[in-house]
Amino acid sequence: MKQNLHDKMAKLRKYPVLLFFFIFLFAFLLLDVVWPKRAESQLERRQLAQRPNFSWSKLLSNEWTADYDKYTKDQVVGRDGWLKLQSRSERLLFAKEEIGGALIGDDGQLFTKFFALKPMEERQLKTNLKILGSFMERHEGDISLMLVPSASLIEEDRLPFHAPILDENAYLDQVFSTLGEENCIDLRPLFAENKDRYQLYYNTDHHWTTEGGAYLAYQEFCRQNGMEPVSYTQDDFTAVPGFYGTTYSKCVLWNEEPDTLRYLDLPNRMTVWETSGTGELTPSSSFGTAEDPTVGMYDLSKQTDADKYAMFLYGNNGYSTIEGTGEGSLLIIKDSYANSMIPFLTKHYAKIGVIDPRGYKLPIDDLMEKEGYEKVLLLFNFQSFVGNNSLAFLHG
Amino acid sequence: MIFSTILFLFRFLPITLALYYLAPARFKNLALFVCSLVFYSWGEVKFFPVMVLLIFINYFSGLAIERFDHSTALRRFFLVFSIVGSLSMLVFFKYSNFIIETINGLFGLSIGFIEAASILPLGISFYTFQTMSYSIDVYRRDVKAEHNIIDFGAYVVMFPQLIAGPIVKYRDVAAQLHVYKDRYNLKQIEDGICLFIIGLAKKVLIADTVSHLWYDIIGYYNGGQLQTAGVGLANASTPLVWLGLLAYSLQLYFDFSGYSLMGIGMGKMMGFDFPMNFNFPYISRSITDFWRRWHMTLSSWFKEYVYIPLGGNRKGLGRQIFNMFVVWTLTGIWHGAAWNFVLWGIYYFVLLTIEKIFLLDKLKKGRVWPHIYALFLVAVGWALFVGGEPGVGLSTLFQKLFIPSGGVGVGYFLRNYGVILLVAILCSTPLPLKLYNKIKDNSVMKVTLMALLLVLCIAYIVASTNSPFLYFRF
Repeated sequence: MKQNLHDKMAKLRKYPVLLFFFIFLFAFLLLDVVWPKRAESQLERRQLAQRPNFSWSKLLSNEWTADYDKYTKDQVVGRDGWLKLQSRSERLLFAKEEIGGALIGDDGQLFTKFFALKPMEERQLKTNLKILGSFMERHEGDISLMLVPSASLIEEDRLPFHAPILDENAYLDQVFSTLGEENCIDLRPLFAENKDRYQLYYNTDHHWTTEGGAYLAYQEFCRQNGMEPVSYTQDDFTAVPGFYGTTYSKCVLWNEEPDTLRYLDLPNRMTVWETSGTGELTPSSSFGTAEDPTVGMYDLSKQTDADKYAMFLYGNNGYSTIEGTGEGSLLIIKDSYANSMIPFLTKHYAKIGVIDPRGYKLPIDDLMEKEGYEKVLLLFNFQSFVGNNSLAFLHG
Repeated sequence: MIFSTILFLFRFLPITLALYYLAPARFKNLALFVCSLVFYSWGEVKFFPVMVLLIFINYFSGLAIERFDHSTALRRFFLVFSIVGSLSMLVFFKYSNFIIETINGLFGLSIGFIEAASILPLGISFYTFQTMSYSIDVYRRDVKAEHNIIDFGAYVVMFPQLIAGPIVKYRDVAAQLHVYKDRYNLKQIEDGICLFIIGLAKKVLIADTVSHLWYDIIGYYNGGQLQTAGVGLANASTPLVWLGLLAYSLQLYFDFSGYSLMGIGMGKMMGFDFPMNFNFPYISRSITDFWRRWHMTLSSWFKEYVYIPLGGNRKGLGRQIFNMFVVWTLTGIWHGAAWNFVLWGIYYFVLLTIEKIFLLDKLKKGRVWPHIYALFLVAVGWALFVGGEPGVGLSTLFQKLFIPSGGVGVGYFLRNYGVILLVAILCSTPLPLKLYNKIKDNSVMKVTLMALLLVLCIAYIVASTNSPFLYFRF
């Protein structure tokens, strides 16, 4: 018996690929089965698929099999390591300039790959312009749109060679001329002028930096509204180092240096509201305490997370208000770009209302009247504005 | 189930191989049959009965043809019955909505599409051709009818070649299916593993990576829905469209041949010798040559079961050209239920006829120009082939290709895809095979190469957000 086994082993040794393959295959299978499953991936910034519950109806509709396929892929043993290996191979073996939807620019600047609008986005853009036009007409002179240009437009010279990025300039021109220049804040000249002096955008994230892009935008907003911007120096900001943003998550480039995220440490209090179907506002119970439902403007627990940008205003909430130290009120309808800019404005208004259209659907005029907002700032990044399909609530 | 997934590689494959290898000799075909049915049903559970019905029809027809050996009429009846059984399934699922659309277009009607036929059962174009080859061969007495339904079922639904071929004739594997003991040896398994890994690398490392160039132009579609917009065919310059077509041609070859090779490799691991399906088609020196190297098992199927029964070349040139017309129209329509595929088939009919009549002799004398000639025409063929896809459009594509126009240039694409294009072009020639043959006797180098390829493939599979398989429509 022992001799027999010995013979078999000697025979197998003549077939190294066979040995390797089967050991690899079964070891992988075993490891994969016992490997701890994760709820989410910090590296990729997303929820991972979980083992689907079996049911006959799901099986017959092919859902269960498709979900199981996703589950094995998302929970594969060493997933992060495989992603990093693929990224290295793309860069080193195939010398790619684009990995996973991120364009790798000069000096560590990563860009979102954005070659064209889908026909659906083109239509949505037209719809959005109509909605905004009628909104501006109803509240003439009180509403301004700040459409933030993308990094790929401002830092064009750092893009990969001849990258066929969408002609954002043309679209911005179209938006501004349709809505009237007087109703819009065009940041392009200011950003172009300052891009070599400050870092306006994160290298690893699509957002603007607090002390760069957001600060410049704040100054421009003040100028257009006849206010004196407060001047800050680098020392006024608190730094959170080691920030790897969403563009990094797309390509997980191994030699990418992390960004440093900065914020103004201000004591202003914020209330996040829950809105009933009829528009009744109650402070959200998920924030603060029962006695004091207010929180600060920064979720400091996010400093240690991968998604550090989510610390600004506790991420994107439907409707929240911030107590300022100035006079009057301002309503901001926005995407996540505004989150790092809004703290600057607290010195100028007594109350700032913040709406994220993804979480707020009620008619806007009602809220403006009820809460007494005099002015509205619409603040979006170009890329999230064009396809934004949640602006219908701006209709009267 | 798709080969290039974690689910297949590290769940289905190890479990299936373990069951197959550990099963007692007489249960091996049962293990293969059951596992293959799971594989087949995974993507579309409801099509399970379709497969069972197909197996029953052909199994009983085969038995009947053999049983009524004395009666020509009955033999014919059961042959026709089985062919109609196989073909009607293919026609129903693949062509009924195309036929309805054509009728609607011709007569201005608005007959509704058949909902049940909107999704193609996995690999139906391949396994219906296999079952037809079985009953025709039994009818011709080229092969004995299969008496064991498990063995027959294992042949029909055998997972390695189910989705993308090669199209294996029953008589090619009949003998092996009945070898129950010592069906395979270690050497065969090792060779099979190498073929499988090389096929996987062709699919995952080359086809999937080079495909992005084409998708950067036309946009990436999933289920007919545009997921990511490309620069747009209309905005691309003529050189870029040609570069895109080159990338698409490479993708198609590596996708399909990689998949076939994985099938052949897994067949070998289980003791079956499937015929090769590709033989470096892009080094062809004529279109005639190309079709002897591209999807060889399909060409030989049409030759054996359509062209030769129609009389082949034995009834004069006129009849021969007619026979070619029939074969190539069918080849076209086999590739997809749309007019551009018919056009594509007829395109090859015209080219092959021209070569048959006078050009082939001239091509044989040339050295370089026949390669350029063949590659150019094949690429134009792929333009016809891809013309019906969303985001393309035949007329825009041909205008862009043949009327020089400006637009987005090739700079970025050459820079971003240059290396992968070079690798793909190099791997379209026999050079890598020659190198491999030199090192394959050195076991350290061989196992290192295989391990590297496999590990890289897994990294790409895990990182892929999408890995479409082009031949799903067929």
